[in-house]
Amino acid sequence: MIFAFYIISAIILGSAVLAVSHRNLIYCALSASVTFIGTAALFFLLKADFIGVVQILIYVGAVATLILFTIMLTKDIVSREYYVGQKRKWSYGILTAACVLGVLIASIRSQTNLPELVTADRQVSMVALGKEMLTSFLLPFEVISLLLTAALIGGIIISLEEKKKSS
Amino acid sequence: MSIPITHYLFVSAALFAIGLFGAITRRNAIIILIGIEIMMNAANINLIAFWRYSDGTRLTGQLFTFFGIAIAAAEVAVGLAIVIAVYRVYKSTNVNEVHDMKG
Repeated sequence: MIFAFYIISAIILGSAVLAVSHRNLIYCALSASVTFIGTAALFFLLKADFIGVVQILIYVGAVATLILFTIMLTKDIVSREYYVGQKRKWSYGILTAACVLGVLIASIRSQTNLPELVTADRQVSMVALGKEMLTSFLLPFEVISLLLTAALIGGIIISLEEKKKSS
Repeated sequence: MSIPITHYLFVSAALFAIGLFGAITRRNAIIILIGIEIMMNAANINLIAFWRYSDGTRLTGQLFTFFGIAIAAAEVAVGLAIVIAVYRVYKSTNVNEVHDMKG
């Protein structure tokens, strides 16, 4: 259990680094999907089974596939940005990310009243989750469905090919 | 012996920093989107960890994560549609080459 957490964390962080730094975009997308699967494994470790399944379905099944399709549609499989020579910008990016990480870790370490693990095992039934979603969280649920509809229409309209005007 | 919640928070913070690095360093629009998705994953790990370590009477953490995943899906769909629309005009996904509206 404890070893599983550290192994999964190492896999997540390593594949995330690969996903944002590799020059071949296909490898980037595949490493990102490894990160998503690892996050789902963390959710399973935390006893959030339903969210883990949703994570795999949506992130790996939909988002990673969509990213792969976009990479193949745009033909820039090996990113051209690497040939420009942007070492200094990379170091600025690493510096900024390290500063943010330092602030986050310092603020986590300074917390003293973080919760401890209360119950060793906890099972959440899907029935309870569905009831909660359709009673206390009914308004967010409806707003999310509106947002998804708007994103669906927007995605289709934006990526539609404009008709050439015959002048 | 159980894992303290700070370890989950550290993993999440590191994942967020990696995503931020990708989003601000790379100039390819698709990698920027991947970086944003990694940052959203970090936020979801935080939510689920705090849900697990709470007293557990409410399911708010799980449902917030669920809505966050739905928002991420909507965002990536529109973002990739924009990438394809931009590629059609500029024949490139490099954001440095898309500068017609730069002042």
